[in-house]
Amino acid sequence: MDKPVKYAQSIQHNTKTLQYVHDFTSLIFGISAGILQLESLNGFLFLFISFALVSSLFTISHCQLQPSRYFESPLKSLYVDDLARYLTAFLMSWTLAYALVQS
Amino acid sequence: MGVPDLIIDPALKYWVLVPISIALLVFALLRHTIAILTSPSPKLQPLAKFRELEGLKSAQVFKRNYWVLPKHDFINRQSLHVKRLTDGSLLAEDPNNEPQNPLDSNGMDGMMDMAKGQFGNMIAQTAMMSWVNFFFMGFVLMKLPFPLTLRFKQMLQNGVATDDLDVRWVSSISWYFIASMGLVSVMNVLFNDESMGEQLQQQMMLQGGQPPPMMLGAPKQDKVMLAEANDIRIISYESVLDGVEQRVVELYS
Repeated sequence: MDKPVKYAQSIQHNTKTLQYVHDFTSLIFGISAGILQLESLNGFLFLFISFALVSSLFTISHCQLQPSRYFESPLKSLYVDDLARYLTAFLMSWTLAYALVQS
Repeated sequence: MGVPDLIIDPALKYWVLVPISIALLVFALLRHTIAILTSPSPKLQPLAKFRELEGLKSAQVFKRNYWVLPKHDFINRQSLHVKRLTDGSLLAEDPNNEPQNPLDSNGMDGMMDMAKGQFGNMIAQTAMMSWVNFFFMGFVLMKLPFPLTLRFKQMLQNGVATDDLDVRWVSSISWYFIASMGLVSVMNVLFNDESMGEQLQQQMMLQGGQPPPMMLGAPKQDKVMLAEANDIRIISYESVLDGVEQRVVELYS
């Protein structure tokens, strides 16, 4: 009664959904950073800001501001777990778009 | 802005950057398909072994949830489980036999499969890298949007013989590295196939990680069963309905 029961497969599905959103947005934001010709520190700032923004929007739209209902440890799964993956995908699309726009 | 220190032929984009990216994607798809086609079908367990496991599992479930049963049901089941676990009728093989070497049949198959997967993976990586190196080596391809330290120069400007060039100008092999890192996400977005992303990630983990633990030296089943029977024998019965009136009244008072 006090502690809600969580079903592991549903949580896994939620994590998958979050991961898809992160993958998609990382590519898009990376391409925008490349088109904007952001360099070094600005680009990484853009990365972290976009990551935080996407996670927060996900909290609002998908979790209805109650992420603890959908994840085992909400802060970790929303803001930490996908960061490395987001980073690599962002770097890739950023580099690609930067090179394509520049020459 | 000023004059850039290098001007790169735009044709490089169409004849190097795009082909490498497409080749990477197609290659990953191909590898995935091959992995699916050659994956071994799951082996069936022999009946006796399955009975043993399920019998043990049902005893464990009983141990956890006995309080939902009425008293006489509880006693029946308790004696049934204790009898089945102690007289050895569930055991798949004679406990007096020597335990068979786990390395010869089952364990070996799993290890062979894993070794095959690793090996194929390594060959694919090597082939891809030598392809990139063979066709696209010896020139500067692109400028990275972020600075790197000098230590990367050796790796990323492989084949470019200019000492003083900024590390941000890199050759095609570094684009290959960067693209193969971000490939998992692209695959997930393009094909949205759960298994695909997972598999790639697993491969990455396998490459850099430690080997998964093997099941060696598991305890013998008859000992496990005896311990379980002991646990069940000493359960003191308690029903979920004990004192329920009191609790309901408290809840709604």
